[in-house]
Amino acid sequence: MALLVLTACVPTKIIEKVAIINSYGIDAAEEGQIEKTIIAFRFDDEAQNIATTLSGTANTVRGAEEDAANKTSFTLKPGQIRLVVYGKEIAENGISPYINVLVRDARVSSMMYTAISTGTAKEVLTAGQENTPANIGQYLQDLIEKEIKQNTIPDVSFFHFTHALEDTGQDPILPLLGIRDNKAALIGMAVMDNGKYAGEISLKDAFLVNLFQKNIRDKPLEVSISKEPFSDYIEGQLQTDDEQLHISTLITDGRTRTKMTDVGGLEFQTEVNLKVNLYETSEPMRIRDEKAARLLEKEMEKKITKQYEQLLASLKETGSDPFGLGNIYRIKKESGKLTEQEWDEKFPEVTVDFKVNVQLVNYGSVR
Amino acid sequence: MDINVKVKPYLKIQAFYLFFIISSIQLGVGIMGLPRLVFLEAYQDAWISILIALLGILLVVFVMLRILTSYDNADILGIQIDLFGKWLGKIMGTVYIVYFAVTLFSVFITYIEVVKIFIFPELSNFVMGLLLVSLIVYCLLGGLKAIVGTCFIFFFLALWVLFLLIHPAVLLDFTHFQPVFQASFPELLSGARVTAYTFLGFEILFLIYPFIQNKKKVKKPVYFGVTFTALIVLITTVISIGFFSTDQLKNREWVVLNLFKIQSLPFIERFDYIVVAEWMMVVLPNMFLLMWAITYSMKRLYRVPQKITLYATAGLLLIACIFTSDHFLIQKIINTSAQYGFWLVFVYPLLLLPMVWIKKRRGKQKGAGRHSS
Repeated sequence: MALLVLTACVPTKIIEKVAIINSYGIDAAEEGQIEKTIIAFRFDDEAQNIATTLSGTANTVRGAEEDAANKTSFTLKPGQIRLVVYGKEIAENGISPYINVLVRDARVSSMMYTAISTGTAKEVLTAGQENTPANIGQYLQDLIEKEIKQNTIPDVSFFHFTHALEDTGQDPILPLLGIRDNKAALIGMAVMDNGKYAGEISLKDAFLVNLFQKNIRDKPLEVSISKEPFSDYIEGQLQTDDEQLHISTLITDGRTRTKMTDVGGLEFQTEVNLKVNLYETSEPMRIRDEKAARLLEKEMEKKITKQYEQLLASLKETGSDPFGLGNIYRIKKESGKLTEQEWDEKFPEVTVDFKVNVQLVNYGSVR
Repeated sequence: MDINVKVKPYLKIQAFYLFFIISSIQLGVGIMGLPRLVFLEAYQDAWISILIALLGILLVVFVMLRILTSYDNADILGIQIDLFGKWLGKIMGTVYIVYFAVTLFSVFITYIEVVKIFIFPELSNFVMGLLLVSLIVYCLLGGLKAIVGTCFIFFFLALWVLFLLIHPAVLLDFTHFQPVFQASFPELLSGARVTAYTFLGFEILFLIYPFIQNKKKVKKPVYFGVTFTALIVLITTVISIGFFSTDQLKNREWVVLNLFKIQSLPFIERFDYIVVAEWMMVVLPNMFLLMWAITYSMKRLYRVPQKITLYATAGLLLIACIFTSDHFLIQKIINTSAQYGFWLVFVYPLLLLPMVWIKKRRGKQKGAGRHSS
């Protein structure tokens, strides 16, 4: 009885009359305004495609949504947002002003993804839509989710992102979406500094960041090492003129531990322990004896160390610290407190001694 | 008015229900925002503050039990009249009633506000208030036994929510707790003090004590009850601090509810909706017990029939909640209740115990004198 009476007390939302926002993009428009491109689902019997694209311009994110809503007969609902894309131009000026709408509204999910696009967000969301059979928002979300599941990139779910964004000793990284072969694709990761786009890193580097942050299992890894030391082990004639030997491995267990060796001098030491299985080599070669295996391990260690050092050098240039070194520094500091500004100044001075330790466990069925 | 209460045997309850009564009245709306408040005072050492608070509560409960056991079957209202005389005793009793009313109102409007923010922004206070008030009146008409029964059942119905915390718990960032022991002792104490509002409620023991059948077994369930509450508060605080970064924690109003935003199952995508609805089962026993405390005290002190107080309070609640939708006003009411409760629940019993002792000793001397003469 009470239920019958009360049904009228909350505004009804009839599924045929609402459009559920699946993803949206934010771009800079003229005069400091923002343009919002919305991809929404509507459950209309007559429509061929349930996804519909709308856009609106205003000073605030919600305002732009209102503007877009004026162009449709449906009510837009924010509860199912899965992906938010920020155009590069707007990201360079900082995305924090556009993030708080997602936090403040308790009805927005924490499990969505935020991303940056190489061009405008509109481009990725609309050009992509024409060339993707499924809904573009869903497609990109699945893509990012898959990469996270496979450990290629760190977990960039919204709650991880806001965590890193508001943590003084760590900076977030976000997926960088672009258009490749007329299709929207994940082309790298954008590193952020104080909520601003600071630069981009490749997906390979993104994996290194991920490895730094958490334990990795079951992740294929391709490493290119110098061919020269292995001349004795390569069978027969060289197949290619390439000076590099490419080997493909599977990481069965990857762990990283970082500690601070000198607080005043900002010196860190990172131990990376990898257990790998050998899958493929670009030259047919034999791991005849233990010596060969040790040599292979050593060369891989050298290469990965170098990759880490290069990554750190380029991160220092951008001023972004996705590793979270600042957190380790904060713990060791006497006061236990660290401001964003202080870490910004100190981060370019850090040195990290990467100690990579590779252990080849299996070589497959070929010796 | 009699100092000792004569309770009909069929109205008495078993001592072990005190565990459920105490833990359900303590856990309510306070815990939703507590981690943030403690963190603001004691930073990463907030968990120490909660342990300190637990020690304080155990002490107060110990004192309360000592006061109660020095009488045969009395409640706080009777004890105060015995100690302070009729007038002052009644005034102190009224202070308790006002305190229960303020706390009830703060729980009531906070829950309405949370529902409005998380689920239905368009919902009117009146509708939600009517729903809650009708539930309160319905349960209160069943009497104390019905209330205790709901506490017992809702305790188990709400317990599963804890399992949802496993997901954020595995994502803890332990650097957030380091370096440990940074907060100074005063900071830890003020951290412990802000837990007051959350831990309030065990003063119900002062009223419900005469209704306990096997009084010898009172201690265990009471101590376990407050420890259980403190444990839950400790778990949620530790998870919140580890899961959220400093700035996030400082800025989020209901931190604990935010913890339920990341779980997801193929058939239930948003657990926060469910948890907010489920929270009604945490909040309702709270309101039942507070309402019972008001009606019962009115009957004891002023001989007002319980039904009349019940309908009057329910009506007032409903009218008042329409006018309190402003967030800062609600915060003010919560603060008032917290301040008021801190002195009345935590400090006052400590002052009461020596007075009871003095009174008893004098009584004995008089008695002894009469014998010799």
